[in-house]
Amino acid sequence: MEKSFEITYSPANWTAPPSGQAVQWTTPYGGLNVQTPENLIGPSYTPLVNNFFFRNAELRTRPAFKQILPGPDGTNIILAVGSFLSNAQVWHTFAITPRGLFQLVPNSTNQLIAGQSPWVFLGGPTLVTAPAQWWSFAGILYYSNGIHLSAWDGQALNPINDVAFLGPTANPTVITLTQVAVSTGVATYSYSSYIGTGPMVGLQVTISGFSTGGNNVTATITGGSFGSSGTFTVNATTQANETHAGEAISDPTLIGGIFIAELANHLIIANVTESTSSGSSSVNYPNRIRWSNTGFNPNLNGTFGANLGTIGATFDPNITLTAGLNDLLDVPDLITGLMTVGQMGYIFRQNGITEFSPTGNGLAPFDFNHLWASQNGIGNVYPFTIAQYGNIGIFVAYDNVYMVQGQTVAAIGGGARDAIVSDLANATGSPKASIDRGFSLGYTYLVYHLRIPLANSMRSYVFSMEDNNWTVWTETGVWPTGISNECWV
Amino acid sequence: MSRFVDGGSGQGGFGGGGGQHNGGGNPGSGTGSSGAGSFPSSENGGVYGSTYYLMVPVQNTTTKQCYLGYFDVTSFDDKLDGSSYRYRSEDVNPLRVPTVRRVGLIYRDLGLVSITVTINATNDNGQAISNSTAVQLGNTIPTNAILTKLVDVTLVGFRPQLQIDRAAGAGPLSIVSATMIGTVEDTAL
Repeated sequence: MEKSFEITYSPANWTAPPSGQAVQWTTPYGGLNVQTPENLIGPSYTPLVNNFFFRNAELRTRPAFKQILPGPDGTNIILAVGSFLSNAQVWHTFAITPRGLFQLVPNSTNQLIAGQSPWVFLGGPTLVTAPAQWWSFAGILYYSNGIHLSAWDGQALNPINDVAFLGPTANPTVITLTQVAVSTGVATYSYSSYIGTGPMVGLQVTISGFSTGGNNVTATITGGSFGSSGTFTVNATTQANETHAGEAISDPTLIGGIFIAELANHLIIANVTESTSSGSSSVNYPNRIRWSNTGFNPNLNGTFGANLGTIGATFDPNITLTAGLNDLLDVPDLITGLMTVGQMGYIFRQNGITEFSPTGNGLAPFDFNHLWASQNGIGNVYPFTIAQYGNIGIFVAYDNVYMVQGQTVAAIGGGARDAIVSDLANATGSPKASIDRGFSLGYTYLVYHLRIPLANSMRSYVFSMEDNNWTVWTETGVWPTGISNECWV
Repeated sequence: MSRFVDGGSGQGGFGGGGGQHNGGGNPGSGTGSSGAGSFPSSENGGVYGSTYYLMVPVQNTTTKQCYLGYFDVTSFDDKLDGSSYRYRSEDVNPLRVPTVRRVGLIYRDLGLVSITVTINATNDNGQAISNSTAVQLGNTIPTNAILTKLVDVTLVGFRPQLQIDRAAGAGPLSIVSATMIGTVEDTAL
């Protein structure tokens, strides 16, 4: 004895009734589920999927992945790409490589047809190879991936290398010394054009005529008050026959960070690195957050950068107390992400989240509150897997992928969780993630897109925020080097 | 020119762009005059902002060349990567042996595509078994209509499981529904 069967897989009919006919629209595709035996998962789920997606209730092969633009810099990796709207309401599409900032030309299609690069090099500081973060604030592009916080307004010929620093200028101040007196072991010098406010750190005086030892004397001149001109003395050990003066250098502290955001009109950077302008030292403060004055604006009378180092554009609390810093030293981990929603900010750590909010007090503008500071907990483990869409943030913790909305944190890994964490464990580089609204103008597909570099491919886990399902894509022969973005052309 | 909106159709022109995504101007509105080369004189370059693409910075693992990739929604036929999908395995009538005879596919015609329809199962000897049939779907000139294809593929075994595979460059596929058809023992154990 046998009886016939028909098992239909369709969003209208996951479990076929006896007639085998669809009776009602039930639920979208469930997506990947590797955490239940494949005969026990629901009929809308799949134990194995690659390069399909479930948009509009169809099981469709994903769009072809192709090159749209060559990189601006050959084999130099692309650390970031994006578009920002300048104050003149002109879109600028840019790419950042370790060499600096590039801009897409307006006639890029013609350039490509002619075999020319569609990119123009704008400048900026040399960067390390971590993905660069960027933020558009008041029509100005700010970007950093550690050492420098750079800016470009879409008008200047070049970006400004450093807009975050302590003191009135980011540039080393070189002043000319004139030897005005000399006696045994002591030389007196006069100087002018000093614009620093502190001691003359890193003073170097070149002296000739020593019978032993070197000819360079390095000193930190801390005595007295240093105006724009004056005199000071250098103890030059044993010899009296110093014959000529050298130069003095002020060495301001530059500030960069791995994460950038804006909250309550303050520009904010987190996981900060502070280095001397001369490059003589560089210290990473992975628990530090720094914020600018209220209404950071580098422009003065239409000149880009002219306002930097003043009360209107500074990160130095010695210049204005509306700028400042906070070290999250009471937590056991380091900062791995930053997100701002409305009037709230969220600092992500490996094992926790710290909320910060404006106080309304300009002297202490933010109040910090650890949602939890446990030894182990939900946090953002991979620095570049946190992505934001409106008031929603998604990030990868040790144990799952989470969605945060306000103070509500919910796991969304579902049955795909084990596959995701397994591939993350095999990653050959840092995974990158973004929340993408669609593939192009007019084609919406709202997803969290987690891209994991593997040995010879890019494995993508794609979470549909409309249907709550995961699918898997593999792009062979490529690795992700930066975070994807919508780019205007 | 454009800023948020120029009111015109998209520029297209990128890797076969245009097509589905070049009509109607951009969301946002309306400050813009139009016309190439009309950026403010104070501006250092810019783009016309007629359309956008999701750009993904990648590096070729062999040549190390870097480029920006995108997903071309005018083609669901990736030339480098194939596609696979497995449905769940079915306890049609637990502890009885089913026989799958056909698979019914309802699909949207996006163009010619070659696929492999496979039934996976296990037998009484504790072995994994499978049977596959290659089949071509769709039309050279896609109709975008929903079409039906019955595929003959037979397998006798426990917990049959339908699998669809498409090789790289084999064409675009969009399945609306799939049905596994057969018979199952109905005798008392």
